[in-house]
Amino acid sequence: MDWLREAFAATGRAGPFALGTVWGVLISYGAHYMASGERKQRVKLEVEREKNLLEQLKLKDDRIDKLHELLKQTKEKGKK
Amino acid sequence: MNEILITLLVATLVAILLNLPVIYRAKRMRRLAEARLEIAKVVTEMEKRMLSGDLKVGEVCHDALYKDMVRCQAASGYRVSLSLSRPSVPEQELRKRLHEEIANHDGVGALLKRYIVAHFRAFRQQRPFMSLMFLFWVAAVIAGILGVFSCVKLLRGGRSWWKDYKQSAAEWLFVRANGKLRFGQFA
Repeated sequence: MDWLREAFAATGRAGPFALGTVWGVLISYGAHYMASGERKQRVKLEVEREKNLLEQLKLKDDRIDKLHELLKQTKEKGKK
Repeated sequence: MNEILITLLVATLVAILLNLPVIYRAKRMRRLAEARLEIAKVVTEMEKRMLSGDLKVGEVCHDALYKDMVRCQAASGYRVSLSLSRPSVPEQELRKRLHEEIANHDGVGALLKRYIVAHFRAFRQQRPFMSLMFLFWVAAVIAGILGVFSCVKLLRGGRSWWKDYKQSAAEWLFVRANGKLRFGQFA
């Protein structure tokens, strides 16, 4: 590995700077990849939540229909 | 080789320090979305129970608990009460009725538990600093209670020690008065 050390030493200050920059950019890319995965999961969860909210609305509608039916039945009984 | 390793190490540390807040925030937001979804699921369950006629109008689960859950579901911010004061009389009555209803209805207790846990998780993810303060507050209250108990225990121990001391002193004086011991001799 002497050739590598010699080559690195020959670059002076530019070598470590370039290597550090490239390495830092790679790690940053990995971190942002992780964060984007979390964001994708979050979006999936939000979509599931929206579905739940829509289901709630549907259930509420069903409840209102049921109440209307009950009211109708009560009125009919009252007429008879 | 050392220069290369040091360069890589420093670059790694700098990159981690710069990117940690990004990852932390993304994770926090994902966990918050999980908690919000859990709250929505609990409300859907409650809706199903109301449609099936399990929960009726006039019950605390229907009138108070469900409304509270819906309010929490629609909220954009979450809070946890730090108050130590005793609940008012009507609130105590409400709680009593709620406990009775939970005992009567199968599964409502589990739903309530899920809701409370999800609410606290949402609070923790949305306000990390405040949740830390909340945990400190809980620890301080527990430490205070334990401190009071240990003080009471210490005082009671001191009283019994004083009792024993008085009894042994009386016995010693009695023995000495009867002439069984000379001055300076101990029983």
